[in-house]
Amino acid sequence: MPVTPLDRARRWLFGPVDARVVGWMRASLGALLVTSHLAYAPELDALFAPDALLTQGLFRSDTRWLAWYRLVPDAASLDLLHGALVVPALLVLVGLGGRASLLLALLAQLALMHSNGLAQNGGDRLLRMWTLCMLGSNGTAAVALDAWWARRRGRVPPAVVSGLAVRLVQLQLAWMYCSTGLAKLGGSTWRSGDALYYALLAEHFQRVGGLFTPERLGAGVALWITRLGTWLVLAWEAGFPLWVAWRRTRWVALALGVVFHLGIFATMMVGTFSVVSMWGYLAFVLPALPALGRTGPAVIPVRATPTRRPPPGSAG
Amino acid sequence: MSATPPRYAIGPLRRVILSLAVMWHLLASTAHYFRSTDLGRDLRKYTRKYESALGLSQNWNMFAPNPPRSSIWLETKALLKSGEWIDVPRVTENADGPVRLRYWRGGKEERYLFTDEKKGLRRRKTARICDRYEAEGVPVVAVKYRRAWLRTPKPEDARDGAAAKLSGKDLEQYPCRR
Repeated sequence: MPVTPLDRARRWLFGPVDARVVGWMRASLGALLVTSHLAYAPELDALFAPDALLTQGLFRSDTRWLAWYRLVPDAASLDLLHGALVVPALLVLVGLGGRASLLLALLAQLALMHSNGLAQNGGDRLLRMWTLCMLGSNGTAAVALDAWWARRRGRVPPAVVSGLAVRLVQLQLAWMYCSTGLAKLGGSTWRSGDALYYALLAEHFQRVGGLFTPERLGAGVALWITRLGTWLVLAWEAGFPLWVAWRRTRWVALALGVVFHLGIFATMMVGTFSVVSMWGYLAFVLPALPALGRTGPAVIPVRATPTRRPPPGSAG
Repeated sequence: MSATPPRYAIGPLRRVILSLAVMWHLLASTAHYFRSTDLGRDLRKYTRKYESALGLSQNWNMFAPNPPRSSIWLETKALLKSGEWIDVPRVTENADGPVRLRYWRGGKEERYLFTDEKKGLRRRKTARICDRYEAEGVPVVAVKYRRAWLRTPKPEDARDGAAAKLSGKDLEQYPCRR
């Protein structure tokens, strides 16, 4: 029977992957969720106390019910609520509760966002996306207490699960880079090559105050490095879906991404964005690991009728 | 026994439900991306609630179409009963010395306040500053704001020795209400 494009798309989205791929992705996402949640702790009072900048009246009426942090009367209750809401993230980390814990972790993130959206950054938004994507697969069939518990009760957890979560993370990452790359194509500083110069000199983003100055970056080799960097970032971002779709360029594209994100992390204060973005690379890296990826066709879609060519020179 | 891997790990009903969910999400994302077009506006009549409740509006243009060519911040001064003006430190000034290790979310919130139309939030900030100083035994009479910005020179001007240019604009002054 001929394989239609729709069949291919369906198999690409839902084809099986090794349960450990999704399990490791879930566990590492859990670690990110816990870290990100706890990082709020020193600022709870400033961001959510009754006298904080944003008041209930400033929130959208249709989402006010999610602003849980605004419902508590004092600082002690705020700490208690925040402590309680880290539990779903911990459950995601250890793999207990299946998709329900992911759903609760998403709700906890939404509560933070709707209680003070001004304090959110791109890393928070991406973390919500990843949580939503991970709902697409059974993430606790391996590397999880759920799986351990099932084995203890004499049941065998599945060795392969739907790869939807992996695919959604790949698509989300490609969309994120490509859309921002296309938006940058319209910017004069990106085309002229000066964007990185300006980005590194924006005082409120600088991790090390005074490290970059106009005199240091505006001349000589430094200027040409920022220009080449600007054009490289532009080409890499706008073309990201192509670079990762083509196997020959995939690993170079991902390696460049790691370099860019580490560079951003070292020089700029943009919250958790770099780390959370790099988490998405697991969706490409883990299925390709010999120890994890070879049991299910995670990168290459399953063919309807697998064919094997005899090795050259072998007798027919 | 066949060694061929299974085509799917989940059944057809789940696949249909998940496909519909993915399609809905893609529709909402697309509507948000094209929100300035007629089609985007029409679509968002249906998708906006989902988008805002889940906070899924996708906007990845921090340095697009151009990175900021100025650093802008809000300067805040408090008037003490003695008549002396003191600087109210910015949130990020709490930090760490020359290398900023911690990301302060309050700094992002604070940066949001410098535009002209954020008067309501500056009033809220005034009340908070007055209360906090009062609690520390430092009575404050009024708080005033100034928007300051440091304009990055063009690379060719920087090469000729131009430094970043500091400018500012006085905003409002609010009394402490007790």
